Amino acid sequence: MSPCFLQVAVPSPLQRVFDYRAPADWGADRLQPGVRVRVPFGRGEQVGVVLAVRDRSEVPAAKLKTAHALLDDIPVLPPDLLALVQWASRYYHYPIGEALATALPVLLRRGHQGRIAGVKEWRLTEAGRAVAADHLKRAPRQLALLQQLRRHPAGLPREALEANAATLRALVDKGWVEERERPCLEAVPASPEPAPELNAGQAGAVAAVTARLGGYGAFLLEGVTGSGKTEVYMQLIAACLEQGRQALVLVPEIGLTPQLVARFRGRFTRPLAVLHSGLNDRERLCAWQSAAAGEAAVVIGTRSAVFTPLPRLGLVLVDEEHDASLKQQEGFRYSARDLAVWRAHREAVPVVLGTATPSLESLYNVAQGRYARLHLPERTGSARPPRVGLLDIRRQPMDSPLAPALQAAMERHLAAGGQVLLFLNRRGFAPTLLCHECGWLADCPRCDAHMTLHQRAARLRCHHCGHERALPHQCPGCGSPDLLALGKGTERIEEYLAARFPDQETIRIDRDTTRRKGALEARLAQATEGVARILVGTQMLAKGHHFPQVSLVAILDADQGLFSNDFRAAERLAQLIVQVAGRAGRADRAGEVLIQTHHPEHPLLQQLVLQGYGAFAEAALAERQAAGFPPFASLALLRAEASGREPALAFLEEARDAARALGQAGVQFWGPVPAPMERRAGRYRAQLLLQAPERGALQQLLDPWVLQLEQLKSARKVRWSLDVDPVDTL
Amino acid sequence: MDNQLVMTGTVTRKPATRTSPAGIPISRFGLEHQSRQMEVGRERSVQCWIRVVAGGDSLQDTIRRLNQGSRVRVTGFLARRSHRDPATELELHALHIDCLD
Repeated sequence: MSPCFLQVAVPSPLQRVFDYRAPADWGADRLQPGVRVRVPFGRGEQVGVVLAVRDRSEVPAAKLKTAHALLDDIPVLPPDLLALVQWASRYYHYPIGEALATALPVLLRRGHQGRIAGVKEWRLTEAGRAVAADHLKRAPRQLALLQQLRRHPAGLPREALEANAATLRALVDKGWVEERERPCLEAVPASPEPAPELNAGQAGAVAAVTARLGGYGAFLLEGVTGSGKTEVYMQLIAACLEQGRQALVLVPEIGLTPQLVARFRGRFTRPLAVLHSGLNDRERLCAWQSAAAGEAAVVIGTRSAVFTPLPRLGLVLVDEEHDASLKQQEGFRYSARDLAVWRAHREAVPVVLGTATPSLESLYNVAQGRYARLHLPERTGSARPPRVGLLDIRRQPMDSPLAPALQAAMERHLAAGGQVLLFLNRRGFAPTLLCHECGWLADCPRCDAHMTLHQRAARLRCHHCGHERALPHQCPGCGSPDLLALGKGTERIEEYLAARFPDQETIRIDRDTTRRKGALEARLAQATEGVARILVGTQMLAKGHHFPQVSLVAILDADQGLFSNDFRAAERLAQLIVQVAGRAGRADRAGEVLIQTHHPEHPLLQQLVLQGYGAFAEAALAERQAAGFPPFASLALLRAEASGREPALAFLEEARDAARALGQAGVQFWGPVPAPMERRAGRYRAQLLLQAPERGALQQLLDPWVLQLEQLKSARKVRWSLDVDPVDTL
Repeated sequence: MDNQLVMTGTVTRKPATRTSPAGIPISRFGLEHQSRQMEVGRERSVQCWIRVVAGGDSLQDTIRRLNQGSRVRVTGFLARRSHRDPATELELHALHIDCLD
């Protein structure tokens, strides 16, 4: 056999692949692109993915190393998926080895071999279920664990158990708790939920997409909140499954609720796999391999699920396509929505982007004829669009975070048996702590930001770098004990509500109250069942959920996004307001939405309230065109951070000069400038913006430029990253 | 640097108490003072009003007994009211309060 050389993608910050010699005893038939190999790298060993098998190499024979081990008989990445990652690596200018490492489940990335049969979980034994609580009176921790497992009869993975090793061991020794392996895929329902009747809009959308099954077609499904987009998704999936093919559903992190998953599971008689960041490594591999084997007919997951191997892919759905979380914001900065469209195109299947508030990019693609628009203008059933009003809080008394008119509306809705949802996109008790006397503010020592006051924890926490400290008894500036919580967060609203509405149960849903695995699920269930009459929370509470009893929604502070520097801030704010407002009146109760603002005359708010999202989007698109911003131009943002301001700016200046020297026409450079929050976690940040009317021109510049950046001398003192199609410029 | 004031007077409104985020009670009340003092060798009448700040648990027993009209002697120091007001806006920070009723 002639010598065999492998081109291998190895995780490394370098924009290149590495050649290795394949040992002669590896059968040539096993060597295909997409298999994993263990290779010597630097002083250690790495797991890489074979991109190509060649009969020669440009690397001198003396420098070539031999691969150590072949990990797969069949490619772990089928050709379509490998092509997707390679394309994304080139487009986003992220090293292929790292990009592949991002796409693969952790266990595969580490070289795990063989299939796993299931996920390990802990649950009560028969004896454990029979134990009386007073048995464990003197062992409160064991009792707590016992009770937790009682609430989860199906079992919980180790990291979800609220117990240390000794506690768990004690219960195992008593024979009350056992470990078992749950199969990768959950059993399918014997009798699936019947599909409801569709209204005319839904039926039209289903028919339009179904007609294109078996070939590429891109659709923007624009449905007002409560218009039944999920039902359209499910019937499309049903049509796809009928053809014996698999469906991929991408949702934003916040939208992937147990509610939604349960709804999908209940409908289909084919197994469903779920992929999200809360899974442990085994769970993730489980989902991946059942998709790859074709056993999972539906894969529903957050952005990284776009990299799931699906041998019989028939349909791609992206829910809440406008959501910023579909773009990864660190490392491999890909847009799952855009990759989903690319993948659908390559694999010749339809892709549907669904939302109530389309991104300006997608609206533009519709206008350009690249996407077909499917419109659901009406809510399903008897639900009507909510009434929306602005509440001027400029002359509101300071002692209450809720305007008197809002309090009155709450009383009205609560008395009528409705639920009230209060939205405030700021967790913690108050945005910061102020000394009344000298004006000192609790600033983070490592960031250009204030620290947030967390009253119950009695801590000041920086939400940008995680730095924290105990609450000071005295002002660090002047020593006065007279410190004040400045502004309002969800924790403070909760406290206010307990005093103002003492008879109503309130539930708070934000990152602080839902840290534990299962906590979000439990709270959402309480909210849905209507046990709690008042719901207060951040966007965690606000997006995508269906609370049938909510009749009043209040946005407590609409002003946060009105005056931001970022060109997308207005779009984000408009989407958020419409999405939050959409939680009101989704079933048979009439909905009302109240928006508290200091700027009731602001054109954005006026337009949204009087004319709706469509009119806002039209005006915003005209502004973007005038300013030459996306979707009328392509952007790339080069970010740099360093221990001081100078090295970051110096690198970016050298980078800009290098780019200019490449002489690419049609690309403009803005900056370098310090980032809007210059100091973060003790590092100084700066950025250089590249703007081009033509995507092609930008890409032509980026290809050679990124290779040069690695070589710049000034690059040694900074950490830099390139963000193609950034979702924000902050 | 000296900064001490002893003032006797009448509480104009029942003290309002809040708790700082760190859990320290901070009470405020108005104190009206009327007396006769010697100036330029002759007696004259004096009237003034000042806000008293009383921080900390140790003063709270006394504070709780105060009502509008209570007569007190407050010993403490002067400090400006807040960073946003003119520096001439002062408050009396109590170190000790005697109830005179």
